[in-house]
Amino acid sequence: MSRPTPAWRRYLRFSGPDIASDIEEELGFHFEERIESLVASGLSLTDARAQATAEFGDLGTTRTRLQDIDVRTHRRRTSAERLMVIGDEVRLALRRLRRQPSFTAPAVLTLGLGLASIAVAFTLLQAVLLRPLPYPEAGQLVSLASPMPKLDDVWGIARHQLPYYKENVRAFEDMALYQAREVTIAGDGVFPAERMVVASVSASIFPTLRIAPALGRILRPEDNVPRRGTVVVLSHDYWTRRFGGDPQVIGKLLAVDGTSREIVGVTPAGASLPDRPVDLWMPDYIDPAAPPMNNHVRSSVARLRPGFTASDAEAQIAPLVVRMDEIFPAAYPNHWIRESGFRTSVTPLRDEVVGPAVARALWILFAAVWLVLLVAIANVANLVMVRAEGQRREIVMRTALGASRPIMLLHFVTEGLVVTLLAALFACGLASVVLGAFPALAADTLPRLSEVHFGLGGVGLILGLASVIGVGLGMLPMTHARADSNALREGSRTLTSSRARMALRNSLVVGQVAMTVVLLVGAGLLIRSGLRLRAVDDGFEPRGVVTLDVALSRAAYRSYDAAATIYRRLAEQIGAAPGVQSVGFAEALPLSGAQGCTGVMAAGSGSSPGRERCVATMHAAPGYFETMGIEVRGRAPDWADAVRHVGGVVISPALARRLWPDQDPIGQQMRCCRGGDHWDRVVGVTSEVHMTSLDAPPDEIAYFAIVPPDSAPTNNWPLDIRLVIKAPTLSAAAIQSMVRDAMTEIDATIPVSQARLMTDLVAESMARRTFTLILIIAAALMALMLSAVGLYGVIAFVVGQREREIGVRIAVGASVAQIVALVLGQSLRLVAAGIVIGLAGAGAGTRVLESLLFEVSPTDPMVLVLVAVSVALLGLAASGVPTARAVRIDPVTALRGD
Amino acid sequence: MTHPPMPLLKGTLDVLILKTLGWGPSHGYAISRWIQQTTGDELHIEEGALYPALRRLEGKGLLDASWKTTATGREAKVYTLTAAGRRQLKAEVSAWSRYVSAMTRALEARPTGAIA
Repeated sequence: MSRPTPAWRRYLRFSGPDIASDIEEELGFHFEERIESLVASGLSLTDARAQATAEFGDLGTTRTRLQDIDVRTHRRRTSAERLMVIGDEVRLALRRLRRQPSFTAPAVLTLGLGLASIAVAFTLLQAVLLRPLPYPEAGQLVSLASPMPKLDDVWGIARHQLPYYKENVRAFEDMALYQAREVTIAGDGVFPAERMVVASVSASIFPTLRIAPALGRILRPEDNVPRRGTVVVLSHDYWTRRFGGDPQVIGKLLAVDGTSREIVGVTPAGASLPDRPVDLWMPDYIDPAAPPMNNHVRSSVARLRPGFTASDAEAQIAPLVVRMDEIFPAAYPNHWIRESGFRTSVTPLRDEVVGPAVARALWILFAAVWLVLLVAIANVANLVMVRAEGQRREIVMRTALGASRPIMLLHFVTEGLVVTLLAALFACGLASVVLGAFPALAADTLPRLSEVHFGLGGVGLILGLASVIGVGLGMLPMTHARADSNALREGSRTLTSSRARMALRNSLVVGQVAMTVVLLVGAGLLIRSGLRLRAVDDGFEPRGVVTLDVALSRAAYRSYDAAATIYRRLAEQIGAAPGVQSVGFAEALPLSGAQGCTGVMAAGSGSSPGRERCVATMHAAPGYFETMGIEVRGRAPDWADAVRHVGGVVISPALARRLWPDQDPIGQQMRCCRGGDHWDRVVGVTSEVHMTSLDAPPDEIAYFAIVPPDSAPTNNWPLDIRLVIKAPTLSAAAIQSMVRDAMTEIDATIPVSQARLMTDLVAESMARRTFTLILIIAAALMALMLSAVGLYGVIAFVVGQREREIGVRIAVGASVAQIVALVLGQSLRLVAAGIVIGLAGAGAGTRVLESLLFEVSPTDPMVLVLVAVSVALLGLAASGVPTARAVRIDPVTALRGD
Repeated sequence: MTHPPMPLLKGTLDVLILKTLGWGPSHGYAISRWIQQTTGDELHIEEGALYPALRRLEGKGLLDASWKTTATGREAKVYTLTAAGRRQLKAEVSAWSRYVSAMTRALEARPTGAIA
């Protein structure tokens, strides 16, 4: 009994197999044939059926097994087929793109630039800002400081705060104090005497930062007891450099600043203070028995217990601070805590290390590169639209011939993805080159920059963005495909392209001009700040000046006179050398950052001790002002004054204004530091000098004579001093060896540092600002270039589209001027709209720049006008070529058409 | 005296299918008949097991399957040996021959020395 298979079932199979009915069909055939043959051999139909079923076995199980197998096979096969189809599409897309370099090259380059800038900015952000510090569970580390709003200043932490907070702040698992300073390690025949950075720490710094010894031991709390712990722990770096990584170094002695210290351990490679690398670790003396002092100069780091935040800790500390007036009355007389507004701030350590200005600049850069990418996308979208115009009839034709929408979508999306992935490839290469160059070019400009590298995160970001953009670009031509079904019916060439498409293209151009304007305004404001900053009179003349550090040991030089004698001999010896114009010394140089400060007060002023504002104080030797080109009204102490012990102070105008607002400061008495009734006389006033940085107001500075008057019993003679030498014709190296030779002759145990050009130091002080400035300017220029390209593309396309219309106009007698006006008019309308929108956007957006600006308002009219004019000019330039082409259109050719 | 049919050794069915198709393309029912006839009812083959085996061989690329119209005008799924299937058949046949002759030699051997 046969059942003929309906013929349509075979065709149905084209649209995908019907697994269940195929199985039924195959098994049905089996049974029918078997039963038929059994019936033919004489069995009744019922018996035949029974026997066939018995022979077959378990029909149900077989059916499900077959079903399972077939479903699996089908799945495997279709995905393989799909892959093959996609592979074909990719190959075809690559071939098409190769044949159209005028589309492919600008699209890939533009997008590549956009993606690369995103990757660079992201990697910087990640490496500098987001990456945890190199300590275990670094997220739990916080930094402590003492802001005093009423004194407009921020101090460090005092020794007595360590046990007080450690005991009473539940949020802290541990807490430590540290201070970095330079020390002299005596020479040993092989190594000359050298200056090294030592971390003077409370022993708790090791558990707080979770630093375990690589060799020997770390410091213990008992090492912090004064006169007990003459020990030192080496950093891994110093251990390898000076001791060749010798494990026998434990127990050996090292002469640090003239004191013999026992080496007890070595820290692992990379272990350092949060804010700087160190060569040595030494115990700070923290005597619990010592009277507390209002001496807040140490840095402090604490580790939070799990579950606590920095603000929890701050909240727990606040009531402790209020009680400090009562608990430490000796340190804080007259309700000093309350009067000064003193409190303790707790900030995540990473924020503290990076600094808010850098964080802000990087976030702004990150925002800026997104604008660049948007401009690039707008550009490529335009290119795609223009290209789709050419393909429009092909799309319509293929759709009419039955290509389904998904198939067309696959076609365009593949093409879009191929373009963006090529761009991604280019971007990866570019980003890794740029980032590879950063550590060498800009090592000191940003914290943690030396560890930056282009990693998986950057690659992933580029690829992810490229995929999204690729799919988006691929869908773009399809958005209008449906509306195009009547395009076939239109004439051979449409006079004007569809209004909707044109509007989209126009808004893309307006958008990218607007974004470029925003970026340029931002960059312009930063450039103007930079120029303003350079125009600031820094109060000294760094050109031709070389500086070196010289450090005497306290053990060998036990008085002001002893130190001054050495400085004088050195000055005389070097000053006599050919080419040297002048020589001087001071304890700190301009623009070298905050150097610590001391309270000073004027004689007769009512202010009580401890309430004075902090002022940069230093000793300066004769010749300093002359060498640095700092003008002095009045006079500066000379060597004869040093011999006669008459002292004399030179102060900066900022300090003069505050201490003696309405009087001539010269001849006034003032006092520094502690010490009863010992006054020093102001003998000169300098020009304004910036100690911390150019963008801060001029500092209040007091330069004390190298030898104080006998009446001021201080024991703070200058041991660590900057030597400045004005010798425009000599190289830094020549000066260095000259100073070395002179020093060897005078006292070979005194280490001399590398000589550095003063101009380099000044550049370094600006490096941070300069670096971010350069990056943001680069982003803005890229956007400018990209949007010029975009504008050119659109105007050129428009001229091409309107060729016939323009031909007609020329034929009926339009003048060149009229044609130019027509074409330029169209492009300038777009540019003008972009500029207006952009300026409005900039007005809203550049407020975030405010803290990075220096004496420039975010709505600086000069910048706004300059940006508007230059973008307009660029628009004109971009329209120049298409306009020239429009003017040259030959009406005959244009009208002949096709 | 008749023996009860022996259960099939693992892998045997595959070889039999390949062998059957060695004669030319065939549908499932024909394959089952041919195996039933040639093994002379000595082997007990559940026909239901045949179809999954066919799928398995097809999945390994040893068979190709296609729908064809038979002489009686019916639609049947017809299996053809691929080149790989032909190679496999050759290999299996020689392996079986060696296996059988080895077993035969062993089972018919007489003791040649003291084994105990």
